[in-house]
Formats: sequence, C-alpha cells, structure tokens
Amino acid sequence: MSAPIATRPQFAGQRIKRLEDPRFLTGHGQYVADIQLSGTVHVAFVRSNYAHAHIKGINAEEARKDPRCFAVLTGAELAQAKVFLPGAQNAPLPALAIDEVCYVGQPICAVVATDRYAAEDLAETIEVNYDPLPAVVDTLAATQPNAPKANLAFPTPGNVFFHMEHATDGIDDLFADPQVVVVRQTFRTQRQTGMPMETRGIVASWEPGTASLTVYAATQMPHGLRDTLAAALHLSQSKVRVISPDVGGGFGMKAPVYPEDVVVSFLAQQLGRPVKWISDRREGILADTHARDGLHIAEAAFSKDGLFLGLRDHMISPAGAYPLGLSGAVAETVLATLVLPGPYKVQQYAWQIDGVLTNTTPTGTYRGVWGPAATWVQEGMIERAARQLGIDRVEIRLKNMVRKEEFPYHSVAGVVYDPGSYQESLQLAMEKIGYAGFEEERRQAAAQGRTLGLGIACFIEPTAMGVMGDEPLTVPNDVASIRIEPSGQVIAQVGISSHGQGHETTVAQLIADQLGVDVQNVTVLHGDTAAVPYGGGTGGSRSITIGGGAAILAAQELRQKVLQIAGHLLEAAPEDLEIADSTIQVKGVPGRTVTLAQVAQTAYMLPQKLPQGVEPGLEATKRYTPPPITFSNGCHAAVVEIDRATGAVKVLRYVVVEDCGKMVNPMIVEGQITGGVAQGVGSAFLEQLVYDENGQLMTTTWMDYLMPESTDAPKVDFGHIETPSQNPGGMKGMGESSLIASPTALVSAVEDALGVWVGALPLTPQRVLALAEGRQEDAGA
Amino acid sequence: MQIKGDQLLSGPPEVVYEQLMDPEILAKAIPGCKALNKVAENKYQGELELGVAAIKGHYVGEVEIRDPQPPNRYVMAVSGQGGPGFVNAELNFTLTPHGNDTSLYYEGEAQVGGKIAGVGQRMLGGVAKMIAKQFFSAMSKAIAAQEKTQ
Repeated sequence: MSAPIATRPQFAGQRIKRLEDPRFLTGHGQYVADIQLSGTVHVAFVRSNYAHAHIKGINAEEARKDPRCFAVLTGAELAQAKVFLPGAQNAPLPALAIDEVCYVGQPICAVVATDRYAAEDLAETIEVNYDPLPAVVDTLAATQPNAPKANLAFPTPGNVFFHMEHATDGIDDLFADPQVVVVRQTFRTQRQTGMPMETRGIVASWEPGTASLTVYAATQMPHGLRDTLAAALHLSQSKVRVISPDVGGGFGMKAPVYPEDVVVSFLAQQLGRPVKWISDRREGILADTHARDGLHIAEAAFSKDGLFLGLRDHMISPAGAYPLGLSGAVAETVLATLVLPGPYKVQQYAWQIDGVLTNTTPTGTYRGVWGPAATWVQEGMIERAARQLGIDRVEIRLKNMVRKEEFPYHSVAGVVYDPGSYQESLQLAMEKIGYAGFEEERRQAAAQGRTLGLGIACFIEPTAMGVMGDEPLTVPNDVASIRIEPSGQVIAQVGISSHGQGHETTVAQLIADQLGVDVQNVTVLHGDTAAVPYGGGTGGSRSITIGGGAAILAAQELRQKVLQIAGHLLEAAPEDLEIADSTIQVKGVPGRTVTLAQVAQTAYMLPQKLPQGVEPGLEATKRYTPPPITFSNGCHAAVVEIDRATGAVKVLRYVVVEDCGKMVNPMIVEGQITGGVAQGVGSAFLEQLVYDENGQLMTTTWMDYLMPESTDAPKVDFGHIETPSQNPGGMKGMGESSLIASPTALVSAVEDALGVWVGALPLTPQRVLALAEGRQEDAGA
Repeated sequence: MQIKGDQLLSGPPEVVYEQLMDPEILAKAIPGCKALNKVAENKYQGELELGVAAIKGHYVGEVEIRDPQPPNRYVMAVSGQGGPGFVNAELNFTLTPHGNDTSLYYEGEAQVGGKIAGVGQRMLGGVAKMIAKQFFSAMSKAIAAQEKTQ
C-alpha cells in the first residue's frame, strides 16, 4: 500500500458523534414501515400450525369472496410460475408450502387485502386441512437411523444432510499417550434469534412502464437480495432495484432472503400495485432464522506442564427443516473449524461436523456465528486443564498464546493470524479487572456471606473475509465511488450497508481526512442498488475494513487529482501542497491558496484550465480486496456475584480489551461492544427458544423469550490496544467480538464462583441454584 | 400436555353415563359450544367459541367416543381446529359409584398447536382445569334442569 501523501488524521480515531443520530433520535428515521406508496395493499400470511404434516387441501373460498380481498396466493400457484428460493445443495425451497409443511410458522398462503387488519381477519378464515406426519425436534434424535424424516422432499436419505471431517496426522497417538492429560466437555448452546428492534419488512412495487420491480426491504445485503429476487422471479438484475432505507438492526438475521420477500415481490408483479408486509414480533420469532443450538463434543490434550497439545471437536448443528443457502448448521460449524484453536498454539487438531434437518424453523447466522461456541470450547478446555493441573488460569493462557514475535502465525486450522496482541490484551484485561487482588476480594466477600467469581474470555475474531476459495460466502471485496461536487461537497456511494453501525459517520471520517474537508461535508450514500456499485452489504464484520478500505483508496486517488489540478492553478508542484478546511495551500505560503470548490468548478466547467492529459470531473471508484482473513483479538473479563437464595447473577465489573487495529471512531467501537455484551447477558442467562416435543414453539412472545434489558447491560470498562492491520487505514473488523466473548466470560465467572463446570446455556436462576447447591447436572449431551 | 381431574356427579353411573352421551346436555354444558350434532353412533361434530387469554377463536371439531363400556368407562377423542390453532386430545373417563352418586375420573393427553401453543402454553394447564370446572358445574345444572322437566 502506497503511503498517503502527508495527511494529518483529523477525524479518524476521534470520538465523533454519529452524523445519522439526529434523525434517529428525533423520530425522523425512514424505516420500511414508514414507506407509504399510494395504492398499497397489505399481506398477511397463513402459517403452519403443525411441525410436520401433509396439506390435504386449502379452502380459501370465504376470503376470496370478500370485497376487501385482492388475492390469495398458494404454493401451487408459485410452483406453476416456477418461483422458488435457492437453498443449500441446489435444493430449491418453496416460498409457500407445497403439499408438505415442515415447521410451525412456515408460510402456506398469502392473503392480500385493503389493509393489514382485513388481511389478518381473512387469513383466519382460510381452512388448511392437515394430515399430521411424525415430527423430529431434537437434533441428536434426528441423527438416529430410525428417526422420522423431517423433510420428505429433501434429497438426502436421512436427516444428516451435511458431513465433513478432518484430522491431523498423529492426533490419535497424542490422545492415547499416557503422558498427556485429557479434559472433556460437551458444550450445548441454546437456540436463539437475532431479535433486532425493527422486525423484517418489505414493500414491493411493480412499474409496468419499465417492467421493473422496486423493493424496499429491511435487509443487510441489498445487492444479495436483488440478485436472489431477480433469479427467483426470472427477471434481469437490471430490472430489480432494492432499497434498504434505515434499518433498525439485523445481527445476521436480516442477511438471508426469505420466503416472504419472494412472495411479496411476486404479488406486486402480479397485481401491478405496491404490496406491503411488516412482520409482527410473534411471526418474527416463529419465522426469522433461528441460530446457535449447536452441540460441541470436545476433548483437549495437555502436557502435564500445561501445553495445549491437541483439540478434538464433534459439532452437531441443526438446519431446521430447510437448509438455507447459508444455513446455521453450516455457518456455525465450518467457520468454527477455522478458529477453534483460538489464540493458542494447538498442534494437533481434529473435527467432525454433522448438519441435521429437524422440524424446526430454518437456522441462519446470528452475530458472531461460530464464535460464541468456539470461544466457549477453547476457553472451557483451558480452564478445565488449569484447574486439573493446578496451574494459574492466566499463566496457562499466556504460556499457550501466540506471542508478538510469532506473527504472522500459521495455525493448525490452516489460516494465517496477522499481527495481534494476544498476551498483551489478556494482561491489560487482568490488570483492569483486578485479577491479582481478586482472591483477597473473594475472601472478604465470602466473610460477608457473598459469593464472587471472576470470568475470563480471550478471543480472536476473523473479520473482513476476502477471497476464500471458489464458493465465496460473501462478496470478497467492496467498493466506494466518491465524487466532489462543483460546490466542493463530497458524496460517497458505498457497497456496504449500515443497519446501525454508523457508516455514514465512519466512512465520512476516513474520506474527510484524505480530502482535507470537514466530516460534515461528506455525505455517504448506501443501501440502494440503483445508486451504489455492486457491494456485499454488511455482515461478517466486513464493512469498515473492506468498504472503508475502498473509501480510503478512492479518496486517495481523488486527492491526487485535486492536488494535480490545484498545483496547475497555483503553479506549484502537487507534492508541495497541503489540504485543510477544503482549501489547498502551498506549504508554508499562506497566501497561495485555492479552494476545493474552485478546483471542482475547474474540473467540471473549465476543462481548458486543466493540466494536459487530465480528464474533466472529480470522481473516483475503487474496489478493495482484503487478505483472506483479518484477525481482531482481545479479552473480556467479568466479576459476578451469585445470589445463593434466588440464583440471580449480578455483574459487578466488566472489562473489555479490544484490539481491532486502528479505530476510526472509538465511541462507535465502544457502542457496538456495549450492545454485544448486553446480548452476551441474554445468551448466558436469559434467551432461549423452546420447542415442545411435538415441534410447537412455546416462546413466541417477550414474556417467554427473555431479552436483556438496559438495566441488565453491564457498564463496560474499556481498554484499547491498536495493532494495525495491512488494510488501508490499518483497520480490522470488530462487529461481532463482543458477542463472541461475552457469554464465555460470564459463564466462566459463574463456574469460578461456584467451583462447577457448565455445559449448557442459558444459565437460568434455577440452574444456577442447582449448581450452587451442588446438584451438578450433566449439562451437556 | 397432561390433563387429569375428578368430579362428583349426582346420580348413579348408569344415569350419568347416558347424560354424558346426550348431545343436548353436552351442548349446554361445554363452555362456548355453539353447536353439537350427533353425526353417527358415538360421533359428534361441533363448533366452539373459546378464548385463552387474548387468543380468542372459533373452532370446528369432532368428538369421537371410542371403546365405550357403559356405564364404567369410555375414551373420548377430540380434534378441533380454528384460526388460532388446533387441539387434539384423547381422554379416558372412568365412572365409579359413590353412594347414590358417581365419581368421574378423567385423564389423558392433549396436543395443542399454533398460537394457542406459542402464546398460551404456560397457562393452558390452568385454563384446561377452569374449562373442566365450568363444564362439570354446567353439567350438574343441566342434569338438574332435565330432572325437573321429567
């Protein structure tokens, strides 16, 4: 990377208040539900009440006769039009059920009416005649040879639709060696869902004049949605425009394309009028992708002096009834295989994956995807070894971590760790949490009848994925198109798409520094496939590293051109110029200046004044492809107090040391982490989607699915270490680390407080009480 | 979901058993029952309006008496479906003499699906008990009323 011409960072690295916040905080955000197109009709879905059944018939007579009804759409009609959703292993998924339903909440019919109220009422009049089939809900039960098949139409013979395995040479010898100490644990994460504040929603509008479709959708990946809708509806990509207006959170749940997206778009095309559907919370909990719910049957081999020699993990993960393109069963496990050794120099490594079909809602990605489980496994193994071998928990970690001088480090999992601060992060976190004095603190608390524990979670986070083989999970690059308008104002169009990350601020900060303008003078446009070049949207902690990297490159190119034109106007060499406050000045000669607006006007309107060979205009488009993986790292630490009467766990102190390379805006970094730690409280103690044995989801309201509240969110004490990456600006991704590490830190603190091991989440008060009373359960398998 | 309970009904098992099979009495006693018709021997069809908390709905269903052993026992299979979901249940009823009256014991398994399960499952046990209580108290009244007219 060529060094940028003497640019003094003014904005990058600063705690700049988010430029988008005034509109959010004053209620002027424009979300999909706010989109009002004239003539809009509204959709309600009839969803399966059975986990598995044949559909013998659908009677929609009463609804169809109603004057408020515009259409009733069934799977048969979609099949006739050859409209399907793409799924894993090229198995097309029905957007509306055809003959068979495979999970409670699966859409069967769509009713279109004058308003949502009418649509809901009409949906209730539709009679679906079910013939129940045997359902299989439990993931392990579904792997048994005699288990009922969860999805009769799916091409694999049994429910295990995906299997992979790998082992290094010599791992069996290692585990058989009587000299090594082997620790074992089964780790089970609970089923959760992303639960953004804004539910999913879509407004689709067909323009007959141009035979084109415009879709407003709450999505993380506008181009991904456009490509899939175009393919599903047999339209060319140029005839589909996807706009994601303000999006109120996604957490991975808004990355896939859903049946409802296809149905609403198809209906708009058929009816020739705008069609709208906004998910309500209950149907969101039923039909948004679910996540986690994985089983890790793990064992680790240590030398007697605490070297982490080997790791084995058998991962079993449910896809639900239909494996999506990026099924949770695959994403949670395949990505985990890359990073299960974590920050430790493990030498021998084996893993197996079984992806399983069950009669449950399809699984997808949730913030951190593979991470919370893999971190729990790594740290769980280290903790167990430390206690068994009588080695200090911090000491054993430091001993096994990749050291500063060992980067770039080629891990046993086949990936390269770029430079980080593994030992330094742990040491700083321990200093901040008061590790050295904690045993004394614990003793004093115990003397007052209080039970304290300290938890540790070191993590690595693979971010900003670049080229990773011939079947990319995401776009392995991203783009920024920047132009300086004749007024000197800067407009940037980017392929990343904010759903709460604050890109309108951070990307503006990066560009402002390169172009020497105020951050307020940079407008960042995103989330509209007609306005921005092809991009990968936001997911996988990719945006600031890849999209921000592209913005820096495009701004650097533009800066060169500005300086070239300004040099010509000022009769000075470009390298003798500097830009500040939208003014270009000859270094050390305060009088010799030209404004950015003058340069821009020259570029557009006075081409005769441009240097020879310089094209008119001030615009640049650059695409940035990062290395395969850029690794962030850090450490979370928690001190908790257990209420032995109620089983409640109170977080007394929480420390996060984060190394995400160069920070563009530390306030946004800390905001994202604070949110992820709150989600970690949900994962560790509260949230769980529960099915009964017949496949009925019993937790479809916030009465039963407990979300962390603001009062549950610990106040985080932050430590920052910045190990720059090779990417432009030195950034690394950081969107997921907070939820990757926090559940483990909290669970580890409870384990430390009670002297127990935990193998399943969430740690509800009942379970904490059982553990406190010595009723050590087999919390795993 | 497990359902069980017992109830004392006036009259000997021979009388109570007949009353429990009488669609007219049942229609009056079943909470929210809008219609109940005998469609075949031991088979009834009906319509029900019922609410579990905020989930109110209209259900159409079938009741079948299986393995009738008057006046001692029978099995009742219920399947109902409506906007908010479905209920399928199979209940064993046992009648034993208790002085001049009858002690009725029932137990069985109910399966619910849809909104009723997703939103109401936690209170369904309580609701089922409440409905049974309403049913039997209405039943006693209906029997008393019938006895008066006879």
